[in-house]
Amino acid sequence: MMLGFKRVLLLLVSFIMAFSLSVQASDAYAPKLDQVKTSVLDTASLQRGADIYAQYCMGCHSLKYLRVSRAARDLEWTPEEGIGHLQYLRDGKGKVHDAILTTLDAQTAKVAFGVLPPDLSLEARLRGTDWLYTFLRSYERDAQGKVSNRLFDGVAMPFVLEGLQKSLPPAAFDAAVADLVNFLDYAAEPAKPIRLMLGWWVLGFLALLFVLTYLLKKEFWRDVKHQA
Amino acid sequence: MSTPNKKPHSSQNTGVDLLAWIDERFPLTQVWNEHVAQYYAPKNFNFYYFFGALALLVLVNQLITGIWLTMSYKPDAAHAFDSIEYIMRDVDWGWLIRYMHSTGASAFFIVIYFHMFRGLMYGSYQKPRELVWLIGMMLFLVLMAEAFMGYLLPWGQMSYWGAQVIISLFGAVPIVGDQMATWIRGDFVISDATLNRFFALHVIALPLVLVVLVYLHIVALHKVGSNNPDGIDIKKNKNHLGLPKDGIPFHPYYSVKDMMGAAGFMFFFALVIFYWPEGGGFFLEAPNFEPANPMKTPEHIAPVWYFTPFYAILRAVPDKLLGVMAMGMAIMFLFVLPWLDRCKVRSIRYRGWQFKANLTMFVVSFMALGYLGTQAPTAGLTMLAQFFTFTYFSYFVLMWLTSPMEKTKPLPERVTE
Repeated sequence: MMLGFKRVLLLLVSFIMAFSLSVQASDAYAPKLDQVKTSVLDTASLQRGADIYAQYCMGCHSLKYLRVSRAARDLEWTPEEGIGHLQYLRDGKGKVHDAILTTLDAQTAKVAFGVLPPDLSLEARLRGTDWLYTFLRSYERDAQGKVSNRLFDGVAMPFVLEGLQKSLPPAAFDAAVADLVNFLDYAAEPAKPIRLMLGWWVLGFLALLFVLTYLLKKEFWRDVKHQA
Repeated sequence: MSTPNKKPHSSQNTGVDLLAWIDERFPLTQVWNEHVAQYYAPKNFNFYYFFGALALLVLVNQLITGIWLTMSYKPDAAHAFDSIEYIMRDVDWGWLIRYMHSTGASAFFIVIYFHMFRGLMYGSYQKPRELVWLIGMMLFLVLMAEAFMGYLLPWGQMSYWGAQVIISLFGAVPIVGDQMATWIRGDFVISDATLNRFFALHVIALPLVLVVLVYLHIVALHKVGSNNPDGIDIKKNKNHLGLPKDGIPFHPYYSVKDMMGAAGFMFFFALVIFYWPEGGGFFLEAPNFEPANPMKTPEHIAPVWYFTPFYAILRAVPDKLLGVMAMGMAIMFLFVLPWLDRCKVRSIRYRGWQFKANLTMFVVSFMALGYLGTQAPTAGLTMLAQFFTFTYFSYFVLMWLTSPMEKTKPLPERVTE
């Protein structure tokens, strides 16, 4: 009878899953995003992404929650290299423990773009890496020279990566954007690399603990079965 | 103590002497025996009986990680969001403590929902355990308030707008509604004042109530004894020493078994913390990575997953006041369950088909409503939500109607496992 109830529960779960899938499938509003596969454990990719960020994004967008010293440590740069890569706009005035800040002032930004370019520290967690990857590859310029973005209608941001896109074969451009997205993913959670590396040890320890406690339980419970 | 002038003392004697010294002044041995070493629990507990102990484990996790979070968190609308990122980035192991707390909140509800389902399945709420159930329901209510207030503290977009929507529900109460909502917020909108008072309630007032209620829950349970998957009374069959034949002392049998359960639970808990901390956007919601902005309403506001069944009921009712009442009733009906179930048999194993069908439909309704509560409402989905709201409430009505005439199976003399 317990089995009967478990079967009912199983049926029930599969019913709900089928139901939720059918509802999700009918969701016509969600735009189709290109999938990107990145890894914050790929330090070389993070370094390339950080350089693209410094050259193409940092002019307008800050990473106010990410310090140069932290990024340098995680990207395996010396503090001096970190300043060279991520603080060069500030003419030697940037300190290693400062955040990665743009030198664009808010007033100019408002006049130039109509909006304040957002801080990108948490953008990867807010929008998701697939969204960023798709967004940055959805810019186009029509015959009249008008720029638009297929994913983000009426976007205020100009076609910043146009030069990069034109200078690279499509596959190489996609790879460069993936590196940039990877760096933004890291910037959104600098603890992510250590989290991913440490997790296996914790899980291994807990699996071992489970086996030991299971054996302990079995030993203690040997006499329960015989109890009348 | 080890000076040569004194009598030599073995450490064992010191321990016994110390215990005797304490026992003369405090009932330490007595309490230990009554609640642990000589508390006889049925020997046939199954998987579902892990969740009581696990709820306690998660509570301790929330209390300890919570204390550490308060050391770096700033309950100030201007600094709250920044201070969370400070914890995530600059505080040593801050990310781990924060994930343990945020994942812990979801884990708490998963554990509690299993724990309550166990009670529904084996009739643990029935006489003589009505008070255990009532205190448990109060715990559930306070836990929901605790989680709701904690959710505002990161001061993200969803924190802010979720709280805005839920508190505005009080405005549906006739005459005093708006004043009540203002009184709760301490302002006309969610603001710094709200954040500060929610912080106070979240870190002091409600945890204190939770701990006291947990104590009462356990005291009440130990007075009447634990139910079991067969739902029969183990105290009816006692041996020559007056101990239940189907009972085993909680310690060591269930202490070692619960240790195993805790290790198993922690494995999955760690799996989420290290490899799935956002929980697919359900444990940490993406809009909460944007600071609260009172001038920008998100396109789609949904409460955290553990509230969505009740939120779906609220939205299913076209009238706001009636919706709020329906949502309240959805919880209140659970309180009176011991008096709605008029069957003398407790466990699902020996109950009639009506009970099984009814409970199955209730679980389906609860899960379906939980899903619907996460979705933006469309006409079709609202109709589905209305259907499942109806079946949710029909559980209680049918329970009252069919439980006296259920064709039950004969109960065994002794537990079956």
